[in-house]
Amino acid sequence: MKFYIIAFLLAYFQSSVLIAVFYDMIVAPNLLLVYLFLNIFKDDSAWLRKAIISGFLLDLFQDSLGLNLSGYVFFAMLFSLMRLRIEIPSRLSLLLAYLLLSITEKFWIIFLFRIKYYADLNLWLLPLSFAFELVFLYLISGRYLYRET
Amino acid sequence: MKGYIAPFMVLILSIVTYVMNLSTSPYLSQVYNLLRSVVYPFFELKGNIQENTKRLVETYLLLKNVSEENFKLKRELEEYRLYKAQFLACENNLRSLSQAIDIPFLPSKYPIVYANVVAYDPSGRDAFVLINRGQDKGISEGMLAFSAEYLVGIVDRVQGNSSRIRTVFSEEFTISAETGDKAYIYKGGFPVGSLLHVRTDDEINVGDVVYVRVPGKVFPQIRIGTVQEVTHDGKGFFKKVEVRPFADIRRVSFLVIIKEGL
Repeated sequence: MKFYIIAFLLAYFQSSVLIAVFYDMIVAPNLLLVYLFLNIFKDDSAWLRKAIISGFLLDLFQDSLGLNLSGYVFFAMLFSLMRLRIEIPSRLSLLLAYLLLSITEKFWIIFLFRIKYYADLNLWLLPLSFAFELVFLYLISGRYLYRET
Repeated sequence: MKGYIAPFMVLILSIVTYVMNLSTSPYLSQVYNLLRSVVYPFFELKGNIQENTKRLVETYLLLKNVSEENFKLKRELEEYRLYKAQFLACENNLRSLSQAIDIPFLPSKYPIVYANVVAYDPSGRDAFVLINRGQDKGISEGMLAFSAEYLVGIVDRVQGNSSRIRTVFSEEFTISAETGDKAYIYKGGFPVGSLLHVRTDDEINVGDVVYVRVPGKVFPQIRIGTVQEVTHDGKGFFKKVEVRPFADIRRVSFLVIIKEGL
């Protein structure tokens, strides 16, 4: 239950504050994705349900039903497949794995968005957005890694 | 891989939901709206937070730009102070030279008035602007108004505390001008003005700068515009010379008026 409450608050914060700061829902930092990533990393038993609900919450606040939902499910699927083959023993490998997956997810979202709409994308904001996400991941990953080992 | 069939189906379903915009379909929209109504109290707050955050970011960016511009202007001001010091040195040298060779030295120092533009020409042809200075500041008809060393126009109507400036884009505007070492008449026009009575053998080229000419007075060299096109149809004595004024009337918000008639 704790996961869903925090996911709700993060989705709310993301869609009200971060989108206003970055002026664009596509390039705004996706802190909820970071949180989902860490939770699946810690316990991957209910990854599909967590991905669906967190994606749906974000879609609910951003009025884009299906866009974030598909991105989150896609992300969770890739991560689940990745964990079958790759070990994540340290914080650095966790950051790298997240960066790789989040870039894929971001391009997935951009691709889906561009199918329906045209909007100018300020790609210079993307590295800044990834940096935010990585810093957030770095800050909150400590105790998850500690618990894992 | 069997465990990935359900996630794959969810993925496909979510893509279809997004692409087909199923959230607005008659049946699904009711469920979606019901879910939205559960979190509805949060939406109003979200809107306010979003609006205030945007305003904060905009204020920050504006203040940052103002601070950068302020720094740039400070540097420019320092440069102008240096120029002023050089001009004063030149003036002193001229004064001592005029004493040495016994020629009268008459330095020109005309009082100026700063004014804000309060209204523009509603026709869109930039023929005039209104300023917030008039008889109260000693402005009278025929005074030159300029902005950033470019001629904007001439005062053509003065009231108690406002005046009208006939701009270089007005068809009714004419002034004595010079380019090279010859004098001509500049006639205003929109979007380009022209030089009148330019003889076919006069050397005027595209890109030449046209200045205000004030015979018998030492006025600052105020620029009107640049020659944009020179044509001659083979008949008559005069060429057609188009001049594009430097002044951008719609961006001018602040004018300097020399309190000396032409």
